[in-house]
Amino acid sequence: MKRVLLYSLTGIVILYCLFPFFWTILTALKPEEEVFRLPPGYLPESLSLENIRNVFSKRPFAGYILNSFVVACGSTALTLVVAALLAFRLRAFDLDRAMKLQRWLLIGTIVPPALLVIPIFVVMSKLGLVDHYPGLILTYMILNLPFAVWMLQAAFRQLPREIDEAALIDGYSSLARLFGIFLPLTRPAISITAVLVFIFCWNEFIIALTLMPSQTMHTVPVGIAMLSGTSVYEIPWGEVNAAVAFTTLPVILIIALLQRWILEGLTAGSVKGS
Amino acid sequence: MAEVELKNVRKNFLGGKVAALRDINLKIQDGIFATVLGPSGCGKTTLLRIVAGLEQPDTGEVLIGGRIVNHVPPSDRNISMVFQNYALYPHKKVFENIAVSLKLRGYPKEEVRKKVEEVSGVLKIGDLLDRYPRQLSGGQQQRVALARALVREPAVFLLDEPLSNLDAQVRDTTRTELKKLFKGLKATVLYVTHDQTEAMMMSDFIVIMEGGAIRQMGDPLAIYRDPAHRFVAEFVGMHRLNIIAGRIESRRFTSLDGAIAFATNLRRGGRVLLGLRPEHISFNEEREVCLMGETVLVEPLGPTSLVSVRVGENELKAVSTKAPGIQETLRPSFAPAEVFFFDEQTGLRLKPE
Repeated sequence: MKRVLLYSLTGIVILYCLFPFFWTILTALKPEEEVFRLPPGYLPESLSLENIRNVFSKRPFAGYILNSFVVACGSTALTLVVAALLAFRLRAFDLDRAMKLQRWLLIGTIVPPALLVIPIFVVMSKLGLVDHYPGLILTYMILNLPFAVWMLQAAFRQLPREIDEAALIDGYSSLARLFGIFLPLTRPAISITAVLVFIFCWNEFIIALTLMPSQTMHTVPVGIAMLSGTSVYEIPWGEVNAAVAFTTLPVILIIALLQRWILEGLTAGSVKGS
Repeated sequence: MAEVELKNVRKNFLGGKVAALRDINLKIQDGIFATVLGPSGCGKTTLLRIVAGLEQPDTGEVLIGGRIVNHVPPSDRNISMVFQNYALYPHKKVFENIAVSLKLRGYPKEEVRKKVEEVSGVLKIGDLLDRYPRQLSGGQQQRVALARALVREPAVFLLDEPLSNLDAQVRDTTRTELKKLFKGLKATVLYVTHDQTEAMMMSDFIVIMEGGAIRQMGDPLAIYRDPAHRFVAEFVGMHRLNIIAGRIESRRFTSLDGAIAFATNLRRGGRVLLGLRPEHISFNEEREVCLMGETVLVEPLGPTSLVSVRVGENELKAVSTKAPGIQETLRPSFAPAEVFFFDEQTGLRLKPE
């Protein structure tokens, strides 16, 4: 009885969460006259790929996806490398001191990113990085760094100290220890951090809008917001939904790809009792 | 091969609040199997880590092979270490685990392979080289950890309680194998344990530590026969030492309850502690000092039994070849020559001058 209740509740929650996504896909697949029909029909009467075709042919949507990909992948990689170096150094301190330093990092996350838009734009335009990938990548890296350092430092602290020491005696250099021992052994934490940073970069709107003003450099969220019909009053809902469905896909793919690493318990068998 | 020497080494933790090592002076000769023995928290692991270079002494010098190594990183000290929990690299196969230190030192590939195979042959793990540590049993993991230490042929081996995570049977066989192995290598070994049986059975030289200080060091049997301190006498020995409080007056020891009394040639008077090993109490033959008591508890050990006898207000443990019944009246006896006297306050051994 309890089980039935549990399953039906879970079902309701899942339905509630997934419905917008279904609606997006359904709308994307409806021909235009069906999208605007009143009262709205749930299931499309006839499937059409017209919206998807339009998004890619009439608009530079493929370019947006490419921009988003470069920026999101670039900033995720950069964030992870810098955060790993910082967390590795922090681990050498005793816990009290490391925590004190990390609290300073948190200050960066207290300020809402929107507040930083103007100062960041000023800095980036002085550096001549507006409308260039490195500008946005650097900005995303800095915004995500506190979070990534916290994650990685917590993961590094959980590694048995003896493994690190065995590596020291075996003759590993510092960088070799980080890349040869620490990173492979904290893959679950790194995967989670990577996914979350990637999602942030993929979805971020306001900074991307400011730092990449020219149309060819738009990222996907900016591109979608710029989708418009022939007049101000016409919003091409079918195309918007097709674009949204397409941009959600990479995120799902990445999570599916990293899931194996997130779930595996990698340190099993290294140290007795773990 | 090399000797290890510590000169006036001190180490404090938590900003001086906890003294881990207080002025340690120690010299371990080349090719000696030396054991640092002590209860947990006595500083023995800190001592080992200082020799390894994983910890810096606050003051004092560490010498390996006559060279001061205080500022030499662990990898350049020509030492290798086996950790209590083995600390294998979980993401590397057994072969890689063993080979990595050679590879990092730039040995050519064929030589690395040859050496790894040689060592894994000696330790009988040759058929495990393709596995990951998590696929091995505790005993096998321990052998891999040993192989990783052996393969480099260092001057000094440091072993931190390498047997304490094994179950009793594997521990016994591994102990014997380790002793044979290191005897054959003629290597200098610094071995840390809290298990006095291990220390007695394996070592050429024992260092007994308590509270960050060395209480006594020397040959295992000499320490057993001639402990310098109450702590040493209690810690070393198969069975726990009997301690009886009493006093000496005009060269005669009398226990506080008056049940045990005998003449001694100890000059000192006043309150003392008497230490008597269970294996020195006899039931069969009559020694100089005869007592009368009632059996309280019998713990069979196989060939012998550990018998607790109530004598006056004290309960004496004694090793007996026969297993008496409970509440049986026994006549334990011992020879005054085999007892130890300790100062009640300092715990130092009192010897007749």
